[in-house]
Amino acid sequence: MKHWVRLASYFYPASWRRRYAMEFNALLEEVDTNWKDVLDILNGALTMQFTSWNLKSIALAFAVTGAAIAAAFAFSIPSQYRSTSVMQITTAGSAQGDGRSDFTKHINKMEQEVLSRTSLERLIIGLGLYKSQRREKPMEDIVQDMRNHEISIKPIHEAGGNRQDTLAFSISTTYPDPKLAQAMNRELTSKFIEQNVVEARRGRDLRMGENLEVLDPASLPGRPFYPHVGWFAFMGLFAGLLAGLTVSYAMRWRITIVRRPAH
Amino acid sequence: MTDPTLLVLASLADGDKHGYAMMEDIQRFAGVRLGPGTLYGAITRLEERGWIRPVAAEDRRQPYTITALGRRHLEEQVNSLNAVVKAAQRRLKNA
Repeated sequence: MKHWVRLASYFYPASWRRRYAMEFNALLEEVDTNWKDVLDILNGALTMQFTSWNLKSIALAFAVTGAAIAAAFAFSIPSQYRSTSVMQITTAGSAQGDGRSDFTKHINKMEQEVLSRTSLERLIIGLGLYKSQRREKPMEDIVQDMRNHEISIKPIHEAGGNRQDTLAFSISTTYPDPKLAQAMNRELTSKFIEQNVVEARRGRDLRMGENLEVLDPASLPGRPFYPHVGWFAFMGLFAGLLAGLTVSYAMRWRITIVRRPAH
Repeated sequence: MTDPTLLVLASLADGDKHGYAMMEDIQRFAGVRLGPGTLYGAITRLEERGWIRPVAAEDRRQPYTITALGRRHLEEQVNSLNAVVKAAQRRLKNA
């Protein structure tokens, strides 16, 4: 216990230790110390630190600590890579009525097939995705998670691009491995093309299905999309700064109340 | 009365003492055990205010003495506490 007590006493400010360390150590040698004393000494040391530091130093120390903890936390999270591709669909003839609405319906119809359980299950098994999760969760849940969190299909509305006969949409896939994120994306673009042909053969949406092309092939992500260490560090810095200011004001208030003479 | 600064002043009122002697004395007369951190927090504050000062030490243990200013502050505190105690006693009797 003496070891812990002595260790706790090192948290006092250097100026305080220069003045009181010798007599304080003499006291610690005489007292039967326990864990309460260790906490008492730590509390005393912290109070002295806050008394000797100015507001800026305390806030800065908390902010730097917050940023370091947040950055370390960010590094501990598995990285996620995002691959993106862009496809464009064009009508064969002139669009009639609400062309964009027809496109959206057509894409939604293809999306339903491409993101169906059977289709995604085949993709998962084919590429050997989510191996560890597959041991713990049913395939249904994995497919659902993949659909909700790892795949995103969005129409692209370009500024000034108000043509009624074309519509571009992006496909994003996210995975902890950059090459597999790209492979997932490639598979999905192929499935869209296949599905477009199937729809055309069925005799539905012939006008829509004549021209579906890949504008940008699936990208190979170089840097992780999540977690963004800089963003985490900034948030940690901000949270640390707030905590530092709060603690500093609270400690100063406490010290002022305790120190105020009673007259 | 559990304010460590007052307990230290009360302990030094009847003679000079070093830290350990103060701890023992306070435990004896007030039934309060001050931890080392609390005791030295109080000693630091009292010395800064000029209410106590160190005196010549024979070994590593540093004795302290109460100053005239500290004695006056203690008297004011004790008088104030006495007034509270008397008022409380009177009210308890009349209740």
